[in-house]
Amino acid sequence: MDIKPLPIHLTTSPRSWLDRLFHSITTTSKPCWSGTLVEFGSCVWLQHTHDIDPFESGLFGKGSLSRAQPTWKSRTIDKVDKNAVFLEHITVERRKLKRNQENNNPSSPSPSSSPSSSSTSLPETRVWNAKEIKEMTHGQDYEQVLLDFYEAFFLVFALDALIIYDPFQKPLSIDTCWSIFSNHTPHFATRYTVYHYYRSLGWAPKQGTKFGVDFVLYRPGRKHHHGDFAVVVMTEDIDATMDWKELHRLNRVCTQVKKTLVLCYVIKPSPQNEQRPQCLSSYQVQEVIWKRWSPERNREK
Amino acid sequence: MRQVYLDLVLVKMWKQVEPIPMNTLENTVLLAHEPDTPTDHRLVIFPIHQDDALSTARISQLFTTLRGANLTNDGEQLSKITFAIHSPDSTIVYYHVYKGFNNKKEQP
Repeated sequence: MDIKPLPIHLTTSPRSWLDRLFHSITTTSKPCWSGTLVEFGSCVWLQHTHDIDPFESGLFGKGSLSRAQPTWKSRTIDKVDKNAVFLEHITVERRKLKRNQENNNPSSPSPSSSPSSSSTSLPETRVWNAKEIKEMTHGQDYEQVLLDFYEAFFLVFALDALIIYDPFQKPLSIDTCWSIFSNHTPHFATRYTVYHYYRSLGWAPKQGTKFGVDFVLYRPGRKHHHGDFAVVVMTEDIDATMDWKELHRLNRVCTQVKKTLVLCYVIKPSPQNEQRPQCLSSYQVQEVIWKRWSPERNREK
Repeated sequence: MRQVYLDLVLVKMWKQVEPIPMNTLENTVLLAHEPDTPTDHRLVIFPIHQDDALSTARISQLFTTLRGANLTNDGEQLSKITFAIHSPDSTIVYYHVYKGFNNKKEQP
């Protein structure tokens, strides 16, 4: 296993997203993006990007009403005149079909005929259509581009590509951002270490909430693929002695979503002073990949 | 709460989503009608941040408090609470939590 000391000097290649971002930074005297701190949401609202798409520039940010790149307006309001069918409507129709099938099956009691059910009213479809959405929102785009604290600090600290303002429009220094983020996010220094580590290797770590892990690694590029690696951060403070049951549980979830489990250990010197980001220079990272193998199935490639 | 509300109304496109402030819980609960379910069925949705801790005692307390506020799933009883767990990047994961075992065939 390699022990990689931090900070890692960022290197760029002509084709990398980092190169594009560095180029835009060196040609201007100010950070190219600006955002507002949203403390209660533990995020930064990215407001001004000067025509640089943060998602294309390294998978930064996420649309608040989308699964990844902000596309809510183009998926809804912009399709009013096109008689588009939305996935949400398809979901409702599919459920209706399933319910009708259950009702028609005499062997299985349906919810509507169950004696314990107090409702005799029929299911009702209540879903907005595109025109109603447009009228309700007055045609405005309600979607925001949000950065989590790891992304935001990386853009501020490592790339000097973002300036963050507080709600009173006062710019925040690097140390102030570090202090605020550390106060709001448990083990921020540890998790940011891992985030910074994988970013410097060319990966784009995103939140791994849906998979029960800390980060999912994506490879920035023109074609967006599903993340291949799911990262769990470990240190003395976090899951230092993970038991086998938990490991099996994690691995099972990762296998079902076709991701490889990576255990990422952050080694900190003691005593630890995490008051300032300079502490990162003394942290070290070790990574271990867990992959289950069944001898009788001969899955090993 | 705002993010969960917008997710249900603007993304999922549900028509009936009603915010109900709960001072005792220091939170706002959403009473929502899931499309294609009986008209008197409701989901009681409790927004919670992914960094907030949740214990079984806290879940029991929530059931007690929400029942005391006369919030029900079918007009008669509160058999499940739906947690909307939101993360900083606005991802929301929903989980149904039942008070004890429930007969699957009796669920709405």
